[in-house]
Amino acid sequence: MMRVAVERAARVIAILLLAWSAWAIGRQTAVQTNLRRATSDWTTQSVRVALDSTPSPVDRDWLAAMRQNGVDVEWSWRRTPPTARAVAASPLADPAGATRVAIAAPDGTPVTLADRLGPIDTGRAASGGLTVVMPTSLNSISASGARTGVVDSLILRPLLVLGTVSWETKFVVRSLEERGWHVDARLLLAPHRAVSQGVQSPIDTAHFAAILAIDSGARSAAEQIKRYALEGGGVIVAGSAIRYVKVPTALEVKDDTTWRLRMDSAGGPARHRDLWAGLVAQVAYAPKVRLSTPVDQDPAPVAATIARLGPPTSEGRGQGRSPGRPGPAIWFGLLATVLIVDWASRRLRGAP
Amino acid sequence: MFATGRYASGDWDSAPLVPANLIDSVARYTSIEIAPSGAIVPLASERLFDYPLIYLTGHLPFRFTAEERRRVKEFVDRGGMLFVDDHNHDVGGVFHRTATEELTRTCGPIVDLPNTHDLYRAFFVFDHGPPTTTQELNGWGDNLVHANLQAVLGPGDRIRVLYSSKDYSSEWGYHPESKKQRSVDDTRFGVNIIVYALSR
Repeated sequence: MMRVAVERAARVIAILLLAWSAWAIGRQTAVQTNLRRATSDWTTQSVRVALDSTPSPVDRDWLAAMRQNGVDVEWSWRRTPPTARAVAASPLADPAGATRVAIAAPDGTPVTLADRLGPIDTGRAASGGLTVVMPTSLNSISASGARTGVVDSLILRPLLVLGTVSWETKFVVRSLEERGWHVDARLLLAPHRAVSQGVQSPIDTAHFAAILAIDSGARSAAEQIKRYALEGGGVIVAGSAIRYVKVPTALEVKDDTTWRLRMDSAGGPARHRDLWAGLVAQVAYAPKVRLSTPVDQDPAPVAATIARLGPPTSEGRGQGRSPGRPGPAIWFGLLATVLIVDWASRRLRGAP
Repeated sequence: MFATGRYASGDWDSAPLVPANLIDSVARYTSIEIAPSGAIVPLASERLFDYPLIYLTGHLPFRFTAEERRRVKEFVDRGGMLFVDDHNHDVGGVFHRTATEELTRTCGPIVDLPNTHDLYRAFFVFDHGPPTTTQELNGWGDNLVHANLQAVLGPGDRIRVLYSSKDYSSEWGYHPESKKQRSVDDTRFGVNIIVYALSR
């Protein structure tokens, strides 16, 4: 009698599970890998998405709006999260145009940089990211779904080179001029004689982007250079000027024969230009002017997704299932167990 | 600071006293650090690039070898400056004809240098352009006073090659001690050339 009751109970449970499944299907639960398809049905009651890449701002807004309207939205990464978590770009003080691109990414992951036309460089993240200096101005740069653009322009004032008349000062001035800088120079030639180039402007940040003290000829301007540095101006102190011009924030270049780099090989002039333009770009005082903000920006899509939708409901190979909620496999196993119990019980007692 | 260039053809060493005399003048008038003696570098040598100012002179036909031509072109392209002086002070002479042809072929077209060029104010001021030489005033050579120097110019009118038919090599070819016997130091224009090469 008891066995028959158990059999009937198992049968009822199986029927109820089947009915619940049918009802659940009727609720049109969407488990989608295609985000656009998942968000296109406004009548759905719940959405579970497994993302291959970071969703666009529009898709994020859609999902957030659906959640706001009562739809149960769950999301997860289908595979590992995208490698580049954020990207930032800023212009460098270089008349030839250069952009510093910083990418936040997990250590060891390969990162591909691209502009609107396609890939332009690759690298591997270390110490939490990667910094690349691109030798051009970039309006748009992307790395694994993170997109940004340069939104600032720099005011580049002239440079001032101080020193004695020498091959080093001559070629520093020439390389920077060839790079596109306007260079003023005051070069000591004799005890009371100097070679000047450009206007004799006061040494301040209103007139100069950087001061380059190349050798002991800058000694007489040491105090002015200190004041200039205190104003926020960039200073490079090279060669024998290091002994006389004491500026804590200055970039020091011990070599006073960099001109040989220019003369030593066919590519020497370009290398010498790159060397000095790179040094100047590190220190130059260049006020920023805000450009119109590009519309196509999504500099930190992973952070923006989490900020908008909350943390993913499961990491790794998630299928949109919340922890603690039974999935289809569990329900199937339970249904099978109940039916087997019913069938075995009836066979053992000889019932049909 | 600068070197005399040795080339395979002609008599490259026809004015051996000029470097010492110019070094003396540079040390006398300026605080530029300068070695006490001149250097000599073969134009076909890699050492050419150690001296961004090279002085060339001679009387005889002037031809670069292929290697010299290649290096001299590289030299001026990298920023070096050649000062070439015709020791014959004679525009119809063999050195002038062959040297201007060779320099045009190697470095680019030679043009008259305006007498208002920065070269004439690099240290001493020469309002009327290049100073005349005794050879010109005595009517030697082509019996002309050459009004201009010539040059191969680069961007911003920078001098890549300075060419003179005035025979400064004869004018400056004496022992520096003899300067005290002169009322006006005629090597002052040589100081301008060196200061210009060092500062422009």
